[in-house]
Amino acid sequence: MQGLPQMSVWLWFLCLVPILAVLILMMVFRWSGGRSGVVGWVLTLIVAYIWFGGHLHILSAGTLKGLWATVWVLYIIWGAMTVYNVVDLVGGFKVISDTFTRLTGGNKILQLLVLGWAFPGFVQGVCGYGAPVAVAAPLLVGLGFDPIFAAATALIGHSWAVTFGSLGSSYSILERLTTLDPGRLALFAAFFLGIACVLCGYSIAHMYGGWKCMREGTPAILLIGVTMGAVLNLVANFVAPYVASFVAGAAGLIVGGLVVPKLPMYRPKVADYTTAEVAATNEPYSFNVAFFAYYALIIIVFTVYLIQPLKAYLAGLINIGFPFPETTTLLGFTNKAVKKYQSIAVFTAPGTLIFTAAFLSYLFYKARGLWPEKGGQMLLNRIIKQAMGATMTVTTMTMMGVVMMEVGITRYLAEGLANTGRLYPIFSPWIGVLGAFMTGSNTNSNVLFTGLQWDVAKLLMISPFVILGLQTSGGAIGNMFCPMNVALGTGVTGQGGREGECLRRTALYNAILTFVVGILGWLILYVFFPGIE
Amino acid sequence: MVAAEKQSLRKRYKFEGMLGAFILMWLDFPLLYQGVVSHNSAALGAGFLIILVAGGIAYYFS
Repeated sequence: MQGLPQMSVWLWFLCLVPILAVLILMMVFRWSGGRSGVVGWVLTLIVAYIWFGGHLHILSAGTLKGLWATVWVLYIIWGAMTVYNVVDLVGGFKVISDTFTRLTGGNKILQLLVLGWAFPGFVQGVCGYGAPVAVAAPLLVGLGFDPIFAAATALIGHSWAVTFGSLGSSYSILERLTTLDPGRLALFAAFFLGIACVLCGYSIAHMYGGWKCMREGTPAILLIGVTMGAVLNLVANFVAPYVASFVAGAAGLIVGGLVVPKLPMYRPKVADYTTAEVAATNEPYSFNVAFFAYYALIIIVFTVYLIQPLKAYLAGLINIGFPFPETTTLLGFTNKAVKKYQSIAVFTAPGTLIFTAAFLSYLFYKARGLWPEKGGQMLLNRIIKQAMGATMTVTTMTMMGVVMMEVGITRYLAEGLANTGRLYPIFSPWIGVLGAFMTGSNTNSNVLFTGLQWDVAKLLMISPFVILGLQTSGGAIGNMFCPMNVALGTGVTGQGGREGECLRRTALYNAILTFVVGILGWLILYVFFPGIE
Repeated sequence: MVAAEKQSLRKRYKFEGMLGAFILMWLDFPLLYQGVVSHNSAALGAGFLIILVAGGIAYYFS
């Protein structure tokens, strides 16, 4: 292993210490993400310095790169909080809540499945980078769900759509970094994520009300989940992988919003319906007015991301990024020099689009006389107070993650898992999860580990298509569990500092989904289709 | 008694403390960046020390 210490079990576990420390401090001791992140970052610096040849230059470069990488995420978090508070200040969530209560006959499971599963999947289809969580979680809070539960729901609900979301950005990395047949790469990734999609629905139902809720929600979950899973597979294999999540999410929204509420078991009871109707008559203005901010956001995002010439033009206008020199550890692990590290295309960054939607909705509400007196000051106070906890979490966690990557700790952990022989397919998606956990991104996870997974598949003489499908599925599923996304979820729901509670909720489902996907991969490779290419 | 005072200080200035740590990290960015790109040991050392202090403040108030 070039530039890395000799593989040994104790050192491998030592490399896990910063991650485990963060998880234990957040999930068991309920420390805030910011505080746990500082501990994780310092532990990483110590491990890097003593065992990975990390000197002051590379540790500083890693920390700085991490600090810069937070700008992108913080821009989204602050923007999403602005949109949420603009709508909240004009009382919009009360109207939205009443309308959804009426449409779903007050059925909370349906509201969860439509707004916490199909809707984020749909948004992820076009614009990922945390935007689905930032949009869906506050809506669920507005409907009366517990904020931490709402954040966890949106995190779980959007994960299945990540690989083929953002117009296929994560999937395209698999294509770019290998010389394998792109069509066959999409085949297995879509298969695993289709299964994960249905399991996401069940996870949300289970998190809401245990086995009873899963039973009650089964018809809706199967109808929406099988639709989204099937459409994802069909579009990824026969149309274009780049729009698979978008079309699947749209299909899920249609089925969830129009078909499922008509099923006999989900028809509202008369008493509930009457109450909701009465509430509707008391609404100060219409749903469309209340929802304007989100309409504006969806239209802006779709316009910029779907009209490719416009996107290309805007992306080329202003790009902010810093050059970094090549860095090498004392053991010889090298990071190439970059001209612009994690550059931000200002006019196409999700944060810009979200802030634009917030500004347009402010103008709209003001023109209709809904904006309260001293609303601007109230808005600013709320955002600053709500955003600080998430800001510290994202900052410290990202610094920890990037330092781990810069000195080769992340690579070392992945190489260790690669030594598991015939059991490797079970561990393969965990490497994807590890990448997403450290970087907060399926795309970056694929950038980090596509080469490694491909090499191991060749070494073990098993199908690289299946293994890379497992890699990217793990990277997608890991999005529900990575601290950056969790901080985003707690931040936009005004629960900064409670990241550990949110992580605890998603940890179980992340583990189950990753395990199921790994077992499926193992069965395909060694039981059902041994020798498959 | 001391623990209670410390706790109240932490709680009372929680927001200001986190904001201060965040601002300090970004004020340190140019110094540390200068050290990284020019391999300047003094800038690297000072910059790294400051970001560790900022981390300590973030730890205390988060």
